[in-house]
Amino acid sequence: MSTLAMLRRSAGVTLLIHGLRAVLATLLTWPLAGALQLAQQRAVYHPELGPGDAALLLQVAARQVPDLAPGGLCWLLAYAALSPFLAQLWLRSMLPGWRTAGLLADALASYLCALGLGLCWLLAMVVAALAPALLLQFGARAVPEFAGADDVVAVFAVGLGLGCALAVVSAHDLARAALATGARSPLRAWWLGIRRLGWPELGWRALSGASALALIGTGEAFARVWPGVAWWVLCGLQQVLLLLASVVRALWLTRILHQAHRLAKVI
Amino acid sequence: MAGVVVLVTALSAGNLRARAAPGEPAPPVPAPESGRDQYALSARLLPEQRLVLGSATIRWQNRSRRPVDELWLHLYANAFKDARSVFVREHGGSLRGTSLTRPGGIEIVQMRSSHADNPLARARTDVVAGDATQMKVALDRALPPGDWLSLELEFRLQLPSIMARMGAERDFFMLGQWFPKLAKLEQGGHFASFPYHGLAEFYADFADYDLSLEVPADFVVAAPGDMVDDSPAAGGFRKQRYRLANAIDIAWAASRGLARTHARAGAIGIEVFAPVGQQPLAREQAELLQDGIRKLGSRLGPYPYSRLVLVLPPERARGAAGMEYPGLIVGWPVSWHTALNPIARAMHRVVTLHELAHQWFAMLVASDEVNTPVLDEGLAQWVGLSLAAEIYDRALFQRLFGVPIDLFEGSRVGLPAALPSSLQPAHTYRPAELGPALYVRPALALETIARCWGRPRLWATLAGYARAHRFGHPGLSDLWAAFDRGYWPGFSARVLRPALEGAAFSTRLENAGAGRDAQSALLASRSSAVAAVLPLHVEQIASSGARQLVAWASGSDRLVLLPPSALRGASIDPERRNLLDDDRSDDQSRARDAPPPPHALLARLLLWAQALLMALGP
Repeated sequence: MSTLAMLRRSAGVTLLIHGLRAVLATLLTWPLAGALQLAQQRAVYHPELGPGDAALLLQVAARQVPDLAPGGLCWLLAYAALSPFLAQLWLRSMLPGWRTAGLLADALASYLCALGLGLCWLLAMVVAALAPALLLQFGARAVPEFAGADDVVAVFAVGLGLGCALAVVSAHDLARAALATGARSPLRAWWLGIRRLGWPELGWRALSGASALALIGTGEAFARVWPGVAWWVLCGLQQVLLLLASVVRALWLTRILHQAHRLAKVI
Repeated sequence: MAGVVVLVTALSAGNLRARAAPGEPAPPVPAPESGRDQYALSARLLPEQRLVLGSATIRWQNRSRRPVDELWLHLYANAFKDARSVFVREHGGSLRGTSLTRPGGIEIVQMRSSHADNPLARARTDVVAGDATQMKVALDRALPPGDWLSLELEFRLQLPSIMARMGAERDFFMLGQWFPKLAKLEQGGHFASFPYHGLAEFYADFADYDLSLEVPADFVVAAPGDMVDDSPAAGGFRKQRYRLANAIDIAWAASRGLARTHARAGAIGIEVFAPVGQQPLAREQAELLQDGIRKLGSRLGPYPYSRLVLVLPPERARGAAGMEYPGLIVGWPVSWHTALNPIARAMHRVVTLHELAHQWFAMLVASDEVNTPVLDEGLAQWVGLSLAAEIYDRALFQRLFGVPIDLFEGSRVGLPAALPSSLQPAHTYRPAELGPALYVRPALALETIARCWGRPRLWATLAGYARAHRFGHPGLSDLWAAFDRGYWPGFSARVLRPALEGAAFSTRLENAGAGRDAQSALLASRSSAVAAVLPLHVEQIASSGARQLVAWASGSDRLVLLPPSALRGASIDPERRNLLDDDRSDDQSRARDAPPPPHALLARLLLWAQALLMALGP
């Protein structure tokens, strides 16, 4: 399986997922963004926002957010419920020889298993968050060198937290790939995922995450550097960058699919 | 009372000799050198029983114009005794998110006085039904104006779970409002005594305190004043003695888990007591206090004590957090996540500066914080936030998605539209009103004054008030007088008082000939004569792009601008001087054909929402 071919095969689903995110983000932010936009159109004429403009926008946001929070939470929950299906769809679309109906049916058939994986991920993330919490709470008592050096402990805790989160996220992705390539139960998929987890995978996952973050950061930088640029130019640029971040993520998925295939053959 | 260490001083010995036989006039009690009331307190902490065995020897002067035939004592620990106390009835047993899980209380076991033969037998605590936080003691022999009396008490303090400044939580002990203290005697001869409401408890005379403590040898003590003794005591205890002169109260904390960080600000020693392992935070807080004490000392008058103690309680002792006592303040609690949590770090800075400001308002300028809480909380809130702005600048004053938001503007968020006056007694507010009315609105009012007439002038006015009433007991009329002197006669009545009472300082843009004459001018108008007093600016940008900043002077309630057709945009108060205008949406206007407003904010919202979804989903 060539990586390029996998990317090409999944291009449609990559676009679909990116589009879904864009639509959902719009739904999440639209009521607030709409109110802010209306306030700006009526009253803001400075190219850079001043203290008076800030007071106006803060007033609008303070009045809107309490009403919008429940709706936003519902959209987020809907997205969380859809995510296991989308992940399977994306992974399976990279494999050869699929037809749309079959792809949808397969992804749908594995939905419950994928949902189980997601719940395991949630649980594992909570456990992973405990590690830095315990270090911060008890580190100074357990390790004499940490006594009186809470900044050092904090650095260790951040490192430990990131490391744990990276391991859980990577193992979850590998488990998803295992599910897409034949595992029948969430527990077996997790077991396979953990079995495949190694330093190269952690490194690639970190690189993939950092690249996506860099692309998003570039989008933020555009907004800072050119605050007065036409909205469609800015949004367009940001969407291109976000799409590139999705492609980076797809690249990571191709790698773990290769892994899953190799291991499936060995097993 | 077994185990009680009674402080034997020349004072108490003298008082015992001075006691009169029944029916005879009371022999004179000698006046102390300082001329101030004297409290010699001793306390032995028994951590396992959460018990303090204490004694107090008080020498007190009748400073009123009338003879005094009764004494009023505060027994504030009885607020936590049972469900019948005023405090529990008012707050339902919880305050600032902390609930009372274990009761406590104070019991006077012995009382002697130079002016009463058996004062405890004639003492009453039922002055408010069900509440035992005040004790009225009848004297056998009236105390003439200017004369002194002595009062000796032995008491037993059972510590409740930590809340509202006092209590014990595992090995952390906070002792605030812990001893029997005489209420403030007013000039007219009556005691300004109140049941413990939980929101205000400091109104008291200035006195000299001599505090002797006995704690287990492995405990660290945080107490204010000069330490004059630190020596081992029998039974694995340690004895420490502190002297704090000219203060309205004395409080202390003790714990096994505290470490001390020391710094100096000139002659003033700064000591920060933080949980072990939090030394970097303690050092940062010590530096903040160094800076703050220098700034406030030079502006409001020197800090009067030799030491300033800051206690950063552990999270489990949150009920002790955010409180002020003379020479000792309690900051924001330290949690396991504090080192990583930027919001917690910011809270530490803001709370410490607020409590530092209280060293002046109301620990030195000792206003009646029960009846006029705005004089301490309102002033301290502005001073604290203003110092935070000065010291941290952009570290606390952020641009969120490109929108510049400062602490004052941020504190407006959530301010209810209908709010009672900020000039009411503390216990008349509902819990949800207290913060906005006593902290936020006064801070916004003072910041508005600072922005309209200059910050140095406001500092100078507050300095005039603080210096004039240092070690005094000013009221609202003294604050009004200080502002009338600092600005102009009538300033308080025109600006400060209406602002604190919640008057509308609204402004708005309106079209003079709306719907009829497109060429008619745009008007900037004020909602009332009250609002007309603020000197503001109005900005207008002509169609050509030329910007004009027009001064809108005090007294003028209308300002005529260019016709809308000739304008690209107009804004009242673009610098946001007036923080008392509760509706900003009618203060700015933009022409339809003006260049489009910036969209970066909306694009950023969309970008980060998508990034969040990417992190959460496939």
